[in-house]
This record gives sequence, structure tokens and C-alpha cells, in this order.
Amino acid sequence: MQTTRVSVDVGGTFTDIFVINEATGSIAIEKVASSKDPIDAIIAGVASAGVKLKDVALFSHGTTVATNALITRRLPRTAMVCTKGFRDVIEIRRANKEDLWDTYKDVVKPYVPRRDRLTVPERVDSNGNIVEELDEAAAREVARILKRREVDAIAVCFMNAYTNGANERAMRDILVKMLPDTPVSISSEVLPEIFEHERFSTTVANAALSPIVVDYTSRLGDALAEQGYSRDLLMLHTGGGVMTPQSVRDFAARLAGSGIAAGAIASRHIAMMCGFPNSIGLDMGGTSTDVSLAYGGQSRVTKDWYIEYGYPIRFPAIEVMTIGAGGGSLAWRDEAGSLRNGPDSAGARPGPACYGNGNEQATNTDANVFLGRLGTSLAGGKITLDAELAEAAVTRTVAEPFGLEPHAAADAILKVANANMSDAVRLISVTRGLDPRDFALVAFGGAGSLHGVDVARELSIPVVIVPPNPGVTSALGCLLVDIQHDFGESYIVAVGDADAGALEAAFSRLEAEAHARLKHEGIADEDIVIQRTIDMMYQGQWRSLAVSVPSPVVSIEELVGRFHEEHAAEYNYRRDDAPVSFYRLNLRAVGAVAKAQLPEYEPTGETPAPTTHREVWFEPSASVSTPIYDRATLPAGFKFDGPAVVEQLDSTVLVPPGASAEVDPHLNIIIRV
Amino acid sequence: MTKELDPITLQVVGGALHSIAEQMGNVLYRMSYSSIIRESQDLGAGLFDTEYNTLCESDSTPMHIGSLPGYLRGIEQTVPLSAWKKGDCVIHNHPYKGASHSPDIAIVMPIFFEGELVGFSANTAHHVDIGAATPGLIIDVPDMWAEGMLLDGVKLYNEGVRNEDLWKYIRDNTRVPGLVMGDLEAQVASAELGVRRFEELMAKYGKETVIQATKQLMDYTERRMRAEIAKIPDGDYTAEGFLDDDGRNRGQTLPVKVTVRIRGDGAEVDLTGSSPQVPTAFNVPFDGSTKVAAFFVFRALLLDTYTAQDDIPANEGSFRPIKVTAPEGCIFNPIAPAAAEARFCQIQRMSDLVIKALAPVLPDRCTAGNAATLSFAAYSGVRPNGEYWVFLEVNEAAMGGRPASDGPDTVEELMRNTRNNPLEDLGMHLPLICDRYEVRDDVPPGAGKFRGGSGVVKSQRYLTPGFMTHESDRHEDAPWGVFGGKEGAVGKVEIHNIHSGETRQAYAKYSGLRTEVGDVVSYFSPSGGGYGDPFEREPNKVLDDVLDGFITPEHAREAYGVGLREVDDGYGWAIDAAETERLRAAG
Repeated sequence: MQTTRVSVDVGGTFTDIFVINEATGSIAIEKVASSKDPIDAIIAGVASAGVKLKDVALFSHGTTVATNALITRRLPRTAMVCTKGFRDVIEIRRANKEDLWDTYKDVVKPYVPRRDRLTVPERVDSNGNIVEELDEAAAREVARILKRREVDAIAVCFMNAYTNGANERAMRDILVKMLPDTPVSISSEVLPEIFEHERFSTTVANAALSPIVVDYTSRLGDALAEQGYSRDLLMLHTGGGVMTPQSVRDFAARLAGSGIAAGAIASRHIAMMCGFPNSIGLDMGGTSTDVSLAYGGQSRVTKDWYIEYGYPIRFPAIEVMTIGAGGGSLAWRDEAGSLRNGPDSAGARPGPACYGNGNEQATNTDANVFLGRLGTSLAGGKITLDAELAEAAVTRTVAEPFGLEPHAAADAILKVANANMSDAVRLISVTRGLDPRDFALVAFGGAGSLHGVDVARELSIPVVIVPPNPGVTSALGCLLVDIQHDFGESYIVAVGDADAGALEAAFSRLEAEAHARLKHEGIADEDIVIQRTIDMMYQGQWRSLAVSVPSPVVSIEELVGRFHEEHAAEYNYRRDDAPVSFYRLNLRAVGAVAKAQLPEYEPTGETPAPTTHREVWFEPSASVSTPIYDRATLPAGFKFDGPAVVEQLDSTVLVPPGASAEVDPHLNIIIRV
Repeated sequence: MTKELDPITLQVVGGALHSIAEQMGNVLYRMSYSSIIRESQDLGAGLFDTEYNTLCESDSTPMHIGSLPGYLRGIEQTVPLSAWKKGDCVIHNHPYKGASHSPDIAIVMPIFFEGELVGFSANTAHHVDIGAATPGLIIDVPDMWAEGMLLDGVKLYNEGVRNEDLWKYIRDNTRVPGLVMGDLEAQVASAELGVRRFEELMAKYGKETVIQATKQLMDYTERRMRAEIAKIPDGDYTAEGFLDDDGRNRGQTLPVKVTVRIRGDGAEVDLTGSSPQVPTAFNVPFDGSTKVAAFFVFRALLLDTYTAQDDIPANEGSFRPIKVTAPEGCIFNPIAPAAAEARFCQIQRMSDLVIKALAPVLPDRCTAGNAATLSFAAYSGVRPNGEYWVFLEVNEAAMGGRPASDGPDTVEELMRNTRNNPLEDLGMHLPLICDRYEVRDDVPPGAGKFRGGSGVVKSQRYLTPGFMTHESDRHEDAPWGVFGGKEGAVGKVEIHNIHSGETRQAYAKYSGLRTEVGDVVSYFSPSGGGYGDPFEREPNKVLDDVLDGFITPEHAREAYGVGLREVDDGYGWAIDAAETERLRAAG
């Protein structure tokens, strides 16, 4: 009986495995060091968690493989074929600066350098008429050059191709003939939407990521199958749903924020369980911290999404802000003589100084160990930290250069890290007019629960939630989502010229496509939910509004009525006499996947005893003898006050003096700061 | 004396105000009809107190930031504070009463809290056509009456009642009422939103707290600006350049002279010595544009977000230490009724000359010569049904080399930050088709250790006969290099007809030019100057520029001392290390 669900989240430092047996409600977690090839750690971790892959009903996975490839620019050699006269669209971008006041900041270069952007004569006009056929001789010459250059992926991006992709397809045919093993992404299929830069940029990212993620998912799929897994591998995408390897092949760029979305989903879910519709997720790992926000129970989803400013990837994305602050972030002294923290990290190897693998520069983990906040035995004794090496690193990196007593130096390192995280939280909350006092902070990731209360206090956030398995919370997020695909196409028709029957036919066509894709992924018809919306606007306006569309379409007038209402609600203004136009059809197809049920526990009334006491420095001036609890012994309903430290396999929870904590029925620790 | 706010409340109120301004800006650009507002975001929006201090402003285009208080003071000459009633809405664009220039129309609504006037919600947006002498833009016109409608503090709404006669008057006096009336409606909606959000904020935190927060934020920005100015040695720093012409008197260049006086923690920008005002529209409104530009350049140079590392709120605090002087009757402070609509090229150059003047004492902060101009094109024509179409396009240019990196290519530099208009969008709405939109590669950018950015080339083809006005400059005086860097390239305009095969070279400025079917107007923007000795440039970067087609192997050799050899790897060139060493040693 396949009743086990497994999800895996691969981070820069650790690979987290989350296993839930739905028959028994039991949960198992495993945490192993990430490996050079992420798949090695996944297979090893699954094995050491005691999972038999043949018993697994569902394996879902969030990965940063694509994100890292874009950030580090370790991309396969990718070429672009453009309409003659338009090779630089992705370089010119929208021409504006990210920030008005950034005179000195570099404009990052596009994913494909100019030398690899070639052009061919061809032209489609804005009505979709081919005014110039593809010049096949020129197209073959381009293919010949690209073959000589041994490119790994190709994007075909022609002007107005969203109205008619025939020339793009003809170009692809020639490329496939001459470079049969090179993946080709064409803009009219990746994102059939008007706006050349946004479409081209998405297509280029898709092409560049394709070899990487296809290789990754097929190798992972093979490795899992070898161990007996017989179902589909589900990959988390940036929009917060999952997709199968078949879809990954065509829409590689949807994985660009895969690993990032999982934490946001889990954080929102946990906060909702605890009764907090407004929450901020602080997911602090070994190398970075992801900050997310849910308001009124909803994550913010945007289509204005990018890894680097200027290069949009226009698939729906859950908004997450990533900063370079993690347990392994290195402390350093800048040219102006100030103490800095991150974004460089000691990573998994060599790791913090206290790992004893040769790094001598102090990290946040070293500061925490030296101050007694973090114990010297982690992951159930599998990892031993050396407090003396931590002290030596703190002394050498910070205490001596700044003339500080070592405890004050360690405290200063953490203060800088906490300030960096607080700034990120401020950016996504305060600068949008959201008051942190109305939020709960969900602290997770391997290091989040060590820093959560300090960050919350700095921002006056009243409550911190530490989930039962903070170190593998993101992995849990992968188990909380459905298969989800977003379809769309331009539909630029004035409402006066529109016909309800034709509109219904257009939606039906998209629906058939959606059903086919989900069916191919093994989803039964009764588990498919389709949401239709249509973007509409006052004719001549550009920004459109999405209006939900009934199935079947009732009448055009009814849609126009809905549009006026929505417009008034959104923009404080309606023009009943102004002509209205349709702009784009959208279809979201959700293939429901049964969600993991988290177990609930009755309060036992027991008062567990601390396993030991340890000297912990909450202030640099003096240490406090602090009870150390084993989290596994803390029952639902248990209340305790700081100072206290709670240790568990994947994380350590710090409850400083002045804070009070309670364990809730789902075994979350709720801390009033 | 109100007590200082705690840091959290200060940040929350500051953030909430900023968010209101952003929302006002968003509503305005998302709802508007003309591409100059919806795509280029040539707009500004914000909240102001009754002394016309800025409480918050959207981060949109620099020229709109800081200009609204001038409009409010201009309106006061017609509508004194005591005359405002709840539900009023005033429209204003008078260039000699605070407006940035006449197409930038402001919409202002009063905000009342507990029965008392507490401030204003206001925005400005660039309108496509206000019925001037030529469609869209003007250059060669006699006076401000030829700029089109003058709206001097008149009411679109009286206590919530729509003044239909005024709306009709405006509709009747623009060539494109479909765009302009929709854009005005968007401005009113944006201002109403600001009123409502500000009332909510006051209700939540109290008037005192909100006002105190804005005061503290302004004081903070002022302190930071003064601290940066104080680091510059006291002295008078001067730089000069010249503009091509006034759009009528060809060959008569116009000097621009900038003297920056640093005294302690204050600065003065003095434009004495610049050209007298000109008889065309190529003049700059003093309050609404000259001063705003001077304030902006100091903020961008000294409180740059990238180097400052912390978030410094943008507000009038940064203006306080800066004094701006321009003699009356100068091109930067014209006397009415001189026309003063086409003002952007001058203020771009003025900003760039401030940088040039300060370069010797700010080597780590300055840039080499930026393109520092504008290409503002008004394409227009009459459709078969007799209705006008008018399209305004802003073409980007390039920056000069910088202390540690190349000048960015094809970017909005200095005083502008408008987005380009997607060409697929234009094609749907206008009888134009774009034939080329690429980075300029016909001339190399200014050589340097850090080279200048390359400009853009854009070719728009008319599918029906029409008109065109072009507001631009810098066909004569190339962007300078600094610290051994070489000068960049001047701009040019070519008009080529694909049917007749004829090519005409055009001046940078022209008014109401008739265009025929098949005319392709190609604009090449200037390229930036270089920073530092080109022989110190990393040879690999020189090779990159060759492979990317920005420079030729000959230019690599002559300007950079980098020798290349041909290779058969599908790309064609590699560095010849020995030859490079020899060339560089020879100097």
C-alpha cells in the first residue's frame, strides 16, 4: 500500500527530507549535507530516512538548481535568433533604471551576449500577417554558425510572433534539422503574449535553463525509479504549484524560483493553522534567508517577477525576497572599517569554523556556538561543533580587529545579521504600508529559530511561531500544493465585435489543452478544477483587469458589467460610456493532489524536565544558566518562559529572557516576544 | 515642541506615506490612455502639507519629483488657502506660475481632516497634446501663447460638482481628446485615492504623529545631504559646454556655463554666463524645471542608493542645502511671455556640467560625459476619418564611463527615467512600423579604462503621410572623456525614404516636418565618454566589445592598444598577447 509521501527541499547547505505516512500520521525528517550533485544527497537522505521508494505514493521536490544557475550565470551556451533589426531588444530592456538614485550600480548583462544573438530577415505585422517570409537561406546560415559554435540551447524570438508563430516554427524546423540534439524554445509557444521584451526575456531564460533542468529532472527521475519509485516526480514551480517532468521539458523557466516558493507556502499554511492570516516567513538557511509575506491568508503572487532586474520571467510567481544572510554567512570588515555580515558564506564545505574543516573566518553559527546559544552537538549527534574553534574565529575575525571583548564581538556579529534580516522584512512590509505589529513571524530554516525573536523584537512583531520541524519546513511546503498550470493567449477584440460563442470556443480550446496535459500527468477528470479569467480594459488603455468568466460564457454584456464593477473597485473609477476591449484569455488548470494531513495532539498536562543547563550569553556582559529542553519531550499545552533553549534534530529554538512560549496542538512553539 | 517619534512608528508612517504615493502613481499609469503616461510613466504624484512641503512622492520621473510644490505656490496666486472647499479639484499648467512646462498638467485636491484643511493630494502628468502650434511638441514658436491651453488654477470640480464647461473647453482644444480626457480622469482618480488614503492614515495615527514623522524624515535627509556636501572642499568649480541651436537660428550655438560654489555644508548652482533666453520654445521654466534639476543632480551624485547602503528617504530635505541662481532673461530663467516648453536638453546638459565641474574633487563619484540630452519625438498624422493621431516617444541614450565600471549602454541617464514603449504595442495603435531598434554600433563609444555606454538606434517608418517634431540636441558637442578617457559620439538623425531611396540628414530639432509614406526616421543617440586611460582597460573586455560588434579590431588596436588575431572558433577573434604587450609598451 503506497501511503507515504516524501518531499525534498535542496538548499545551498543542507538537503531536507520530509516524510509523512498518511495511514499512521507519523512524520519523519532527515537532514543531510547537500552534495555537489544534489541528487546524491537526495538519494542518500531518502535512504537514511528509512524510506522505501516503492511504498511512496508521491514524491515532490523544490529545487534551487535553476535559480542558482541564473544567479551565478553558470548557464549553458545559449543563442538567440531574432528578427533582423532587433537583436538587442533584451539588452535595451525597458531602458529605465531600477532605482532613480543608482548612478553607479551596474546594469547586469542579458543571459545571452550580443555575439550569440543572430538575426534573420522575416516579418510579421501586428495583425498577424506575414509581410516577409522567413529567409530560409539566411536561416540555414544562422544554423550553420550555431552548429559551429556548439551552442547548447537556442531561443527563437521574432517580432509580433504572439499573433502568428509560423515564422518562428519555420526557423525551429531548420534548427532542429541541423542541430537535432539542441533544445529550441520559441517565444510564440513559451509565452504567447504581446510586449517583445517581456516575451523574449522569458523565452531566453527558458532556453538557457532547459538543458539544466531537463538533465536534472530526468536524472533524478531515473535515480528514483531505480530505487523503486513508480509514480510521477512532481517539481514545485515558482507560482506555487507542482509540475511533472513532461511540462518541465517545455517550460523550464517555471522552475526559476522553485526552491524559493516552498518556504512561503509552508509559512503561510502554518501561520493560518495557528490563527494568523497575516504572517511573515523568515526562512534562514545556511547561506541565505528568504523572506515572504502573507496578508489575509494569501501569498502575494506577481507576474512582474525576475531573478535579476531588467530580465523578467513572466510566469506567475509567489513573491519572496532573498538576502545573503545565513548560518554560514561570514563576518568581515569593510573598507570603511565597519563590521559586515554576508553575503559570502562558508557554505556546507568547509562550513563554519566550528565544523573544523579548515575555515577560520567567523560565521553566524560560530557566534551562536561561542555564546552558548547553539549547542555543540547537532542533528542528533551526527554533527559535532568545536566551541574552541568558534571562539578562535570570532576572536581573530572580529574581536581583535575591532578591539572588542570576544563575547561582545560575537554579539556584534549577530546584531549585524539580525539588522540585515530586519531590513528585508521592513522592505516587504513597512515600505508597503503594512504594520509589522499586525503580523506573526514564522521562523524556520535551520537557523531561523535562533534569530526569530531578536528580529521580531527589532520590528515590534509580537509573536514568533516555530513549526515542529523548522529545518525542513520548506520541504513540507512541497507537500501542500496542487499540480497547477497556467495557460493564456492574447485575445485582442473590442467587445462590440465579440461574440459569446466564439469566446466560449476559444476557452474550450484552452480547456481541452489543459485537460490533455493534466491527464497526461495522471490526474483524473474529477480532480481537475479549471478557473477562467479574461483580461479586459477600456479601449486605448493598456493595463488590463482580470475578470472571472463563467463556464459556459453567458453573454458579452455580462462580462462588460463585471469589468466596470471591478474597475471601479480597483481604481476608484468607471467609464460606462467608454468602449471596452478584451485583451487576453487566462486559464488556470489545477489537478488536485490530496494534501498531507498534519497530526494534532491533546495537551497532556505534563511538565517535561530540561535535559541539562548551559551557560548562555544573551547579553555580552554576562551569561545565564539556561535550561536546555529536548523538543521531542515537549507536549502540547506546555508553557515555559525564557531564558530557555530547545534543541531538536534539525534546529535550535532560542527563547531569550522576557519572552514566554507555549506548545500548541500541532506542536508549534508560539513565542510571545 | 513635539517629541521625537520612536523609530518603529517613524518607519511605519514613512513607509505608509511612501506606499500612498506609489499607489497614486500606479493608479495614474495603469489607468491612463496615452503611452507617454502608461508606458513611459512621465508622471509624478504625492501628498503635501499646507505649507507645500512634500509629505511623500512617487518614485517615477525625476523631473516630476519636487516640482509639485511650485505648482501649489502658483495656484495660491489664484486660489488662496482660505478658498479651498472639500471636493474641489483644481487644474494647473502655467509655466510662469510654477509648472514644470505647460504639457505637464497638475491636478490638485484639498484634504480636510476633522473639518480643517490639512494638505493636498496632487499629481502631474505629461499630456500628449494641449493644442499647441504643432502636434504634440513645439520648438519653433514665438511665445507661450503658442504652447496651447493655459490653465491657471481653475476648478474642474467645485465642492464635488463637475464643471462641465471646463471639461468641454479642454476636450475642444486638444487634437487627441480620446487620450487627454481619459488621462485627466485617471489623474482625478489618483488624486481622490490620495485624499482617501491620507484621511485613513490621519485617522489611524493622528495628525500630529503623521506631520511629525514627515518633519523628522526631511530633517534626516537634509542632515545626510549636508554631511556629504561638507566632504567636498570649499571652492568654486566651473564647467562649460554648448547646445546646437534654438531650433530656428541654425549654426548659432548656445553656451551653458555652470559654477558650483561649495561653502561648508551648502552648495550653490549658478548659471550665470549661460545663453540669454531664445526666441523659440527652447527655454527652461526656472521654478518648475531649472531648480528641480539642480536639486536632483546633487541627490543622485551624493546620496546614491548603491553607495549609500542605507535607505535615505527622497524628500525636500535634500533640496534645502542647495541654492540655484540664474539671471533673469537667461535661457534657464526666461521672462514671460517667452515660450518655455522644450526644456529638457538644457537641464540634462546643466546636470552633466555640474558633474563635470565637480569631477576634479569627486573623482570617485563622477562619471565621464553622459549623453546628457533627450530625443523627444512627436509623430502624428490625420486618420482617414479626420481624427488626429499623436504619439510621443522618448529615446534612451547612454551614460559616461564610471569610476569602477563602464557607462551603461542604452539607458535613461541623469534627469530621466522613462520606460520605452513596447514596439508591438505601437504597431497595434499607430500607422508606424519600427524597422530597427538596436544598440548603436556605427561608431565606437568613448574609449577609456571604463568605456562610455553606446547609444541607441531606432528607425520608425511612416505607413501614411504625417508630421513630425523632434526635440533634441547634441549633434555638435560630444560627451567628454575624463582622467584620460576619450570623448564619446554625437547624435544624428537621418530620414530615408524606402520608395524614393533619398536620405536627408536632419537637425536635432525640427518642428512640424511633413513626412511621406515610406519615410524612415532613424535616431542615433550620443554615446558616452570614457573614464580613465584606455590602455589600462582589461584586454578581455576589449575583445568582448569586438566580438559583440561594438568596436572594430582596428579600433581595439588604435584606441586600446590591444592586438587581435583571427581564429576559427565560430567567433573569429582572440587576443594576441604579445602584440598587445608591444602596443601598450609603445604607448
